[in-house]
Amino acid sequence: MINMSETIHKTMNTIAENSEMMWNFADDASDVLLGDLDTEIAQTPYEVVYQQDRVKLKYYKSEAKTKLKTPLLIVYALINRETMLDLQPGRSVVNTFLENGIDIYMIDWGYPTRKDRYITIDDHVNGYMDDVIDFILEKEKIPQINLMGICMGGTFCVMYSAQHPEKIKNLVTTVAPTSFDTDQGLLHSWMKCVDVDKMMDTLGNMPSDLMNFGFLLLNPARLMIDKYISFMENMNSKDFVENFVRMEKWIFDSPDVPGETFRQFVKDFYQQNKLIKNEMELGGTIVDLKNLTMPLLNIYGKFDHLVPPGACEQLTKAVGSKDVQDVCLDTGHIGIYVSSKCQKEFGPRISIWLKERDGEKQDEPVKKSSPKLRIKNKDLKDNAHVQFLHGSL
Amino acid sequence: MEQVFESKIDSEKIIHSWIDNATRIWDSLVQKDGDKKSSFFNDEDSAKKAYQAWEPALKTWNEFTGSINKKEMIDSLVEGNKAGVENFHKIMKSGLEGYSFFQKRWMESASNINDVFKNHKGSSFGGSEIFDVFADIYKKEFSKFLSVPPLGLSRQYQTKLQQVIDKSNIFQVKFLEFLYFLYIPFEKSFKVVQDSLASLADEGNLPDDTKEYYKMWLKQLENHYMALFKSSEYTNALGKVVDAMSDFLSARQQITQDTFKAFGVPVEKDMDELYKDIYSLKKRIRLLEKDAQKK
Repeated sequence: MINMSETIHKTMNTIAENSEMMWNFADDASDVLLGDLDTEIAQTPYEVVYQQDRVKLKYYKSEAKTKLKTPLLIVYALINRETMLDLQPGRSVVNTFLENGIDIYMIDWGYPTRKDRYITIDDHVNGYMDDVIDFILEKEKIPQINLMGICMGGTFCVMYSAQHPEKIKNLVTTVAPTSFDTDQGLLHSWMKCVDVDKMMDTLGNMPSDLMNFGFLLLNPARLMIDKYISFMENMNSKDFVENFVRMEKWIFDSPDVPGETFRQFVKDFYQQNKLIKNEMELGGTIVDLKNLTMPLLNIYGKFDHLVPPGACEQLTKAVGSKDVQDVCLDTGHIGIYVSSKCQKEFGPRISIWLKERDGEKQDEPVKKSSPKLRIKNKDLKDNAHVQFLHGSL
Repeated sequence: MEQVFESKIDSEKIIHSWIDNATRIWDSLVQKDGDKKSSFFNDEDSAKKAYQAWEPALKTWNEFTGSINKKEMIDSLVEGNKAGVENFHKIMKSGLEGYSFFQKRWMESASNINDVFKNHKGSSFGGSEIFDVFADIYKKEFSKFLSVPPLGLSRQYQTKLQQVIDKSNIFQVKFLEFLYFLYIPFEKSFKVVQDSLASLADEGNLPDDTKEYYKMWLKQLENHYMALFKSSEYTNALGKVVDAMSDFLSARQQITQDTFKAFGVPVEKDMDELYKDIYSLKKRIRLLEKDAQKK
């Protein structure tokens, strides 16, 4: 009886303590959620220097004392937005490049509407991209630019560089899928079973909500449950809430993908793996990766479930360039750009690589790079939200 | 049945008595020859005027009753009555036969359903095969009723409506199947966690922190989802639901377009044609501009 009474007493004490803690937590959380939150993204100033249809060219001017001679054009994917590279101060790839003296041009693909449904990959690569690059070359009065592609944008950059090698000084591909015959990523399996012709004939463009739902399904336990439980556990932290909302804003700010481009990407790449086999046809010409002779830096994530290492690491073996480098980071698809640890590795590494090749001619490699370099980021746990990104994407 | 009818009802007697009674009623209402003793009218003038007004009608009545009171007419009326009964009997008979025909077809369908169940093998994701069975049953036994060719002026619209109903049904079954697949990891992970907890309890190693339980479950859930997503059953279900969704949306679009057309509103098809023209023109202009710049 004494034991029972003690147990009850103990339990009541614990409940009392917990309820007090809960009230304090709720009080703090309401202060945070009802207070002023800074959740703006993409705040680094830029100028729109060129526009064609919905496509805009953003220009970020570096104020650094020593600058690279050659500006860098960043081509983002058609899925989600390029704002991810400038998520917030202290977590911005754009800022890192600017601080390292690189002038940046960045393509903003805009929001395609129904009228854009017939725009093909060729229109993006040999149309918009070529026009943008011609504009930059003319504006800067230079013969070549540095090109950096992200994810699907990286695939576009590889194709462009193979078809217009004379305009590209150095090429950087980050988490860019180029070889699709892999069973490492779920997307690679799923895309093979979809009748994309029927889908695009019906839908016109690929709706962003449908795509986002597909991405959430890649890991529903983490992305639809654990992520929001982490949010509720950390609602009393202003920094956490602000970072979380910024990521939410970016993740669900997703334009539709033009129907013909999506159809071609699924059929030619995911289903037939044409690019790495040099069978991809663009504008009536075969994309021959051997034409890709400029220095190439190829970065990808070891835990990337969207574009797994198997989809990226074949590129350097297939190109004609002698100056190639693979860098595999111990992170995921998004963590590579937004985690604070990767901020110290990713941006600075690209800056150094570009600096080393800034004054050289394209056909004279600066030095022979190691065939594969693996950078390990052991401590990637900035906070629960970023932790989820590392593990899951 | 006819004999029974004849034995119970004597139609001739009924007609005779009905005519007699009807004539008596009219006679009592209007006394023939303007009889002053009539209690119905207060004075002679009123009775005469009433009789004059009613006289043609009464004559017609007497002639009519005289003619139908003849034996031949009564016989033919009785025969007509019999024919009506026969016709009613025939209608009932064909109705019952039709009902039993449809019942027979439904029973055949039901027995086919049983065959469909027998022919389906179980999958590694227990219970998911029921959706294939449903889809098969629907396709073989129900969908055909929506494929009956419509006729007439509105046949095209009816066909489109039938298509929407059909595709909507198929989409719902496929979507349910897809949702069921997404539910399976929850069920499995809960079961694994319960079993783990039972063994931990036996060993006396139950964690104190409740978050440990959550982490245990989440890990299981994640593992089960990964196993599911890599399975061919899931990818098949995904392919089927996307296909069914496209079919349904396409069928629905057809109906919507017809409706908007009626109001003179341009539909997606019209706009797409226009967009394609604009796209081709812009592409040609761009090429011409590039050529001009080179020259």
